[in-house]
Amino acid sequence: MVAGGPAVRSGARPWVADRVATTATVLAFALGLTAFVLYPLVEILRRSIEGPTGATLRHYTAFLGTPQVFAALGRSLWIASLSTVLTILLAFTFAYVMARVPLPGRGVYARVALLPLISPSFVQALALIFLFGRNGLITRHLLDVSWSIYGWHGIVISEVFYCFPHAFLVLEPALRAVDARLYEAAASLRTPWWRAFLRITLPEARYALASASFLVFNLVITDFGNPVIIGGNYSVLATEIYTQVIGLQNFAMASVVSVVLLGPAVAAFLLDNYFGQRAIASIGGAARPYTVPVGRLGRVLAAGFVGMVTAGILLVYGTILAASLVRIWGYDFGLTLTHYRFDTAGGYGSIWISVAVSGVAAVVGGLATLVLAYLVERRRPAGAWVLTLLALVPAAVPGTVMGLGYVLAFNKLPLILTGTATIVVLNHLFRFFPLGLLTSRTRLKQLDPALEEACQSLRTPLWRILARVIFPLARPAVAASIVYIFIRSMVTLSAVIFLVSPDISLAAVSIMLLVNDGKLNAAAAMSVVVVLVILVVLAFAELLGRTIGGGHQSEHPEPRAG
Amino acid sequence: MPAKNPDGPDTRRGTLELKGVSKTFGRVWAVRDVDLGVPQGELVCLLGPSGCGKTTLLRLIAGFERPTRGSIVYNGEAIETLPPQARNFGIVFQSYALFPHLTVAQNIAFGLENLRMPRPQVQARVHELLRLTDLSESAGKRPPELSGGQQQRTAIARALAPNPDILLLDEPLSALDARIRVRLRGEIRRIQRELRITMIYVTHDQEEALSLADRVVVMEAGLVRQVGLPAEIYHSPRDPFVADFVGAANILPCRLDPGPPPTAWFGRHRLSLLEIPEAGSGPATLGIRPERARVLFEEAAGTGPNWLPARVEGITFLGAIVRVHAEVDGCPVQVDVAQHLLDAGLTGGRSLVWIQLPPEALMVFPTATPGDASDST
Repeated sequence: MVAGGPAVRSGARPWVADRVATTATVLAFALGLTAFVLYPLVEILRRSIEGPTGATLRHYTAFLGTPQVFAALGRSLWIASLSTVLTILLAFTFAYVMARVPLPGRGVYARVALLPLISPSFVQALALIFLFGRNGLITRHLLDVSWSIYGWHGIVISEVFYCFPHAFLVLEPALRAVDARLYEAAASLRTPWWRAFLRITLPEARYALASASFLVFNLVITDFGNPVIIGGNYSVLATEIYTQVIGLQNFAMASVVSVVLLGPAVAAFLLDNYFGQRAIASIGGAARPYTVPVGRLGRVLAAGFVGMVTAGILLVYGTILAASLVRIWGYDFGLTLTHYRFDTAGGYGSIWISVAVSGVAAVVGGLATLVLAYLVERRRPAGAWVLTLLALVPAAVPGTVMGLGYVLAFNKLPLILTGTATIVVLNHLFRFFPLGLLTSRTRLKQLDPALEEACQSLRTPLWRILARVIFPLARPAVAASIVYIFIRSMVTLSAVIFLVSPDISLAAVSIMLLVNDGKLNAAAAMSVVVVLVILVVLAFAELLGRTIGGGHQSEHPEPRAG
Repeated sequence: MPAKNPDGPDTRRGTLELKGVSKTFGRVWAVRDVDLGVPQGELVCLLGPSGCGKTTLLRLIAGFERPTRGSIVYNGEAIETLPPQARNFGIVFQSYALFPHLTVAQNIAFGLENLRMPRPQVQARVHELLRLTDLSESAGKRPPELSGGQQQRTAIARALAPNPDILLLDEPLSALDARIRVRLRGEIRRIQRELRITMIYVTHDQEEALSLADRVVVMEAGLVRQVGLPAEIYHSPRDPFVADFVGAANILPCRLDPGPPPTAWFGRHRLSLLEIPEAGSGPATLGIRPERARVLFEEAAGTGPNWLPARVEGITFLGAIVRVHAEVDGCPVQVDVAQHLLDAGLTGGRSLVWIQLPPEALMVFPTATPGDASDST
């Protein structure tokens, strides 16, 4: 007889405490997001129209009137557009071959193609300098020409390398998810290959193409690292902000340039989003994978192309590695480890600080985004859309703009954080919040919504739902968020360029300073160390994932017999 | 075995009362003006087609929705504004909503741990429930390793663990195949009897409702059409919808003539009735169940009243019964005949037959406005 259970009357009060806890958490997020996303951006806007007697557009007219500064806008647009076109051509062809032409060693090519994702964006530029710079292996020592890579052409080439994996990741799934029957139908109608390409392949991939284009455009126009290292005197908007702040202390102009940069950056972001969603939606359940019927010649050409691209990428990293290990680049190729001492850069301090702040930001970010995703998806408080919007805004904002915003906002009351590690952690945390939020939301959408109602009817308090139900079921997503945020934090330069101080040095910035000082070998060495750290963390995460075991199924259970 | 709670007075005595409960979603009335009383210990089935509002009504009782109008009172206390956590109702979901990463035992213990029950007590109670639902051997397994029936029983055990006042079940068996469904139905009935717990059970399967329920609430388009014992619902449906939803019914438009003798005119055919409900004249609807009508594959009609000439459109073999699809003046009439009574030879390929609608089997539905549920208990 199953009587004798707990006699709990309806109307027990603990649920009030739960309501309070939920509201408090939502408010905490609202406060955090307002303080660390909205406030810095508002500060920038404010500074751009600040005048001694009130709001003024003086700074904007100054921007338009200073040809040196105004020209940066045109230059940004130019290199972004050119880089986009070249990257898309390269990535599309590569993705096409990878998705549709059977080649041996496909997995290797794919892995190499993604290598630029785990290193700072300007590692490409650095390698190009070693090869084609004033002391370049190829320009000076092999061919003995005086042409150097510095300038806008160097920027474009570096950006193409840098953005290539991003575009590839968008285009490859779209090209792979094709219905082979379309092509078989075309073949039966005797359609020549170029016509099938123009009339079937391109239209099928149009959303992915658009999305990838705007993604690359956004990446290039907001990139700071490559232009500053290899651009020489060619200033673009991102570097102009830096010059105005560090060189000229003209915060008003820096703010104006930031606002100007926001325009194309946000527009590109929104368009990327728009087309990206369409692209994902159009990848329906494909019938059969399609392989292009190519003869031996075609396959050789394809392999050659893919081989060349991956060789190029490997060349970049090989050069960096080599440059870090040889005594004097171009002259004395004896091996040495002196460059790894980083005496002038303050030793390994900046590496460890980077690891520490990235680690903290990653763990806090991974967990916090899960909680926010849960609140938004399941609890649906009033105004949840505002929270989500605020949380996703940093994805659209260029790093330099965020960095400047933080400097302007937190250099004064009510919150003074400049010069501390805290400001760096917060910057990383909120800048990469969208990454974690997206990952967690996607995972939560896969869970049965009735689980939440079951928890409610069983009187589960908020903390227990998160700890005992949500977190265990979302563990792989959280782990992924943590890893993504860590990597992005480690390699980012644009935001943190303004946040370093005598006490807080960061690896990416130290690398840039070494380059500025002409100590390229040490810069290469530090880049290698950063990449190694990331690889170790990735390997560790993979290992952890395997031992703990993957996530659990939580989709609607399928009834079996019995 | 004492029927009362040995720890004290029966804390589960309580009637659930719904008064004028309505719920709108935008402009759609999912539930309209529902009055219902559920005494302690009763198993009530909410029966109806998809979209009739039965699940919404259950969710209103559970606390996942708030009524737009009306009140829900349990044990004298108004509860319609209380969240689910404040009502002591257990819920079994259609998708089971089991925690896939926890074992059966952990799932069952979950609600008890939320109540801060001491460990040994939790263990004891979990064992009780495992025994009750016949899951003792699966205690250490996780939901993905269980069969559909086992998952269902786990969901029931988990909902019962905190000793709820009422158990709410939302189409718990709809995802299972027929054999298991019948078996689990019996289990649920057994558990309900053993615990004497109030159960409100939502289903679209009328066989399930008839076999399980103490009382059936038939719903359509947000309204309660009829409330009553299963036999009442079946034999005395209040309107054509109930007649055709619970069991099958032939629906025939007619005109009533109180006479005497009470008569219904079906086209040019005169049908005798046993009696006519009040205000009985003018257009109305007749209903008759296929198994109560009779068919004769002969030249001439049989003896007795209400024989109609019909044309056979088809015959369907359904195993135990054979269904004759016929038409009387263009109106479809189905007659079910026990299979062994109908020899292939008897039909002789005949297409003109006689169908009898015995007066005692005719259900008369005046053309009145629906919506006033009568509690026939």
